Amino acid sequence: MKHTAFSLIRDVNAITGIKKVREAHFESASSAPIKAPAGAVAMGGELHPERISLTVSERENAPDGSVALRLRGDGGRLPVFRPGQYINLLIDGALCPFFLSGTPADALLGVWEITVDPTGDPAAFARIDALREGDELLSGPPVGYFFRQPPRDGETCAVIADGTGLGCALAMQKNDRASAYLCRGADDLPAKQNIIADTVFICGKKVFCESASAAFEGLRTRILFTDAPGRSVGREQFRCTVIAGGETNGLDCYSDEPLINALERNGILLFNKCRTGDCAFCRAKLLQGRVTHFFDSGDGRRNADVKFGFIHPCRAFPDSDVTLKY
Amino acid sequence: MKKYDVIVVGAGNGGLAAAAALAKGGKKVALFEKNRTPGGVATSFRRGRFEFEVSLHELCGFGRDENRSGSVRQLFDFLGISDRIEWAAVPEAYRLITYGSPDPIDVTMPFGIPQYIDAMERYVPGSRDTIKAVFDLAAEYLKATEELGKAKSPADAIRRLLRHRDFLHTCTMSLDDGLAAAGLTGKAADIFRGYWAYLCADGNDLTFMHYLSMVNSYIEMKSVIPKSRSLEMTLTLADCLEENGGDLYTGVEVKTVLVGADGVRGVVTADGREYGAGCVICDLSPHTVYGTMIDPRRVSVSDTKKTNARELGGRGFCVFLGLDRSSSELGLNDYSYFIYPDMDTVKQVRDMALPETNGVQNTVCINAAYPGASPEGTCILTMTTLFTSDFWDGVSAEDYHRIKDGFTEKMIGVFEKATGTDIRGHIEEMEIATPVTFARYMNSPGGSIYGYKESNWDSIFSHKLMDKRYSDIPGLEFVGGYGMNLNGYSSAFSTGFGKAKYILGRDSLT
Ligand SMILES: Cc1cc2nc3c(=O)[nH]c(=O)nc-3n(C[C@H](O)[C@H](O)[C@H](O)COP(=O)(O)OP(=O)(O)OC[C@H]3O[C@@H](n4cnc5c(N)ncnc54)[C@H](O)[C@@H]3O)c2cc1C
Ligand code: FES
Repeated sequence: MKHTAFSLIRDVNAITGIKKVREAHFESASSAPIKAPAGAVAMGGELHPERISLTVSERENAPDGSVALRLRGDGGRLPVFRPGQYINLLIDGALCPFFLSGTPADALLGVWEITVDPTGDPAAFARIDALREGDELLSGPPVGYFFRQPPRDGETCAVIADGTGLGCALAMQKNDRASAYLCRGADDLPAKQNIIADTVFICGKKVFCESASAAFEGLRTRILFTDAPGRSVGREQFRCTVIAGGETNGLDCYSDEPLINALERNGILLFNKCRTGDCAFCRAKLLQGRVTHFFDSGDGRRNADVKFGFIHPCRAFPDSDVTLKY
Repeated sequence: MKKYDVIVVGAGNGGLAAAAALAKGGKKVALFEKNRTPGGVATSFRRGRFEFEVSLHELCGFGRDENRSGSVRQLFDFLGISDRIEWAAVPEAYRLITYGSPDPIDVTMPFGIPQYIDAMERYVPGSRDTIKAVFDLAAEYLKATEELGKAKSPADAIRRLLRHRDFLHTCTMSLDDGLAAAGLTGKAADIFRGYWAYLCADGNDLTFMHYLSMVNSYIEMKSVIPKSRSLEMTLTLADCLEENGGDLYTGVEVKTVLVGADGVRGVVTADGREYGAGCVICDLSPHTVYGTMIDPRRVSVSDTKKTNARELGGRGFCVFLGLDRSSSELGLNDYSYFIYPDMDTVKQVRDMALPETNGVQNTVCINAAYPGASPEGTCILTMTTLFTSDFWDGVSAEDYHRIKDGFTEKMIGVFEKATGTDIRGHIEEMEIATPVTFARYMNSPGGSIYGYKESNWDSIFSHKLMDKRYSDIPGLEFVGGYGMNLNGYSSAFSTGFGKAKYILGRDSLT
């Protein structure tokens, strides 16, 4: 580049020029109190609140024995959800997952619906069956990744569920125009040639899902297990030390249940969202001891979490005394 | 009440760097993070068999070898963690594709200045000398900024700069003016401008100095990524903080920054606890801190005006895809794809206001840098674009999913068209992050992932020239993407490190 004495003056002036422009921008700006743009932040909060208070506003017993509850939020609308997502309801001190069986449009009117089937999980059915109109409940936000995503799953879908997946099937039927098949068992599956869909969603207990996926081999499927895997024999008792927010607590835990259950039984309702090991929200550092994870498939943890010794207490079963840090 | 020397709010890259460096320097530090996992956008998540990186495309300023490195390696060396992270090399600088212009571009640019110049000469015969002159200018910039750093007064600064006349001549220019002054025009200039979307401002608003320094460090030092995603850096920094006696609180949101007549006094968290400190470093936007966390009567008129004068930068939108074929089976041999309708940056920035018109994307296939990033026979594609308006602030819950899904279809379609690959038939897992997602996750106004918008009057240069600090409140500091070095990993890290050095009072620290 060629430079002259004249251009030098111009270049130095340009620097002071920026300073002037900058000061002018500041000078002409509003002195009204600063407001952070709130729309997106607020909507994020609306879609994913931490805890929601609900009241049972209606209860319906269907002829087939299933029970539907309509749950009303106390503040206008409830978060919209994706058909196939579920909520965790706090019942008797424990968080239990239930599929949302209604429509996102109803959520915007302040109502969620859940539907349980007597052929599903007996304990879950009993908890819902015991509820009456006017009962109050606490819930987490809608969670889960088992829902239709058009670029991935195509336009048409079918859903095949056992009793534990009834709510999921209903939601997909209502909202995604899915052909839904509720099966009372593995011998109740629809014939493969009757299923015309880009993607078949299979939802139910593991044994059910496995026979369904074998029966529909060759079709594009997505599968969700509703029963959590784990250890069912040889209960051993251990001590769990929990360090959270600068406080330390001790409690008993057992080799045949996920650590998060032990925590919750002791009133420590720390962090949890999906309870299937997928979301990492419950992650805690294992400072001492050993655990075994039971994920639906693979290791649901992120590589770096594994490397740095973090566990997912919602799917981690103790093998010794343990110390967790949140 | 627990007392600290310094409290850091937000464990994004800026907050982590500040907290870790301060703890290493012997300060009693607490770092509060509202999310369960530190890192801010420097994080990852899993879906099925895939682990998706949220933000990092390439790390600038670390470099592949110690002798040619920058600010990030300085920070990591200071903390003693450079070797604790497993790095993968990004294979090439970028592939640039324009799909909407009559004279489309499709070029792949390599790392290394001589290689880059050769490639440019191949694509645009006769461009060798000008492109070389541009990189020479970048080298001069480095020397000149070093000189500037040593200046004792504004007059001394100008005296020192007299030895760097080309710098003095171009340092106030916009990107487009600077390229013109350097004689780089036409297709060669278009190819050189490929990285512009990383900064999300057009050729008139971007400063030549900022753009040129960024390109130079990418091309000269070559980029890397951590194998276990940016979360590996995040957790290494977090460990380093704790090893040096710092307290890391995750899942704890700071609601209020307490300010008295004499300055900052501490913070109050969402669970109502108070923590004391005479210095609070915020890894958040001044909009959020002044607008929601501090008693407005304590905010000076000048800080109010300065904050109100600023415009938000790009709001992020990402599509994460786990594909059931390997990248080579799909013919995806490049790592980073800049895909634009054309190279009219003014038009692109304008069109990025709305989903209907936004046609810009930067897509990364991480497997091209690290084949082990996903299981054998699969690969990961991450598509990112930015929105330049507050469109997403106004989307209602009724329309949200429809608009989000529709725009995702469009982005996938653009990628398929630009590269001629079939993506849609191979999606095994997918996730979408919108400005609403980023707003919620980072508490960032509008879902801006790029701090404040860069412009000639609000650039790194003008900050360095004019602002000592961001705030009139004694003890209140800002770092991160909204800090003085604008957005980006290296910028966020360097604001954090810089603030730590300033507080430790050891400015000459290396
Ligand atoms: C999709 C995407 C791609 C990108 N690609 C690149 C790239 O390839 N290379 C590059 O260099 N840069 C890239 N960037 C930019 C870079 O990631 C950011 O500029 C940088 O990480 C910002 O860091 P930060 O310090 O501002 O923290 P942020 O990530 O903004 O984190 C702020 C933290 O503060 C926390 N927080 C907020 N409010 C509170 C509160 N009240 N109390 C406690 N904690 C709070 C948040 O939870 C969050 O963890 C990309 C960004 C995105 C989103
Ligand atoms: S609650 Fe989601 S991983 Fe444990």
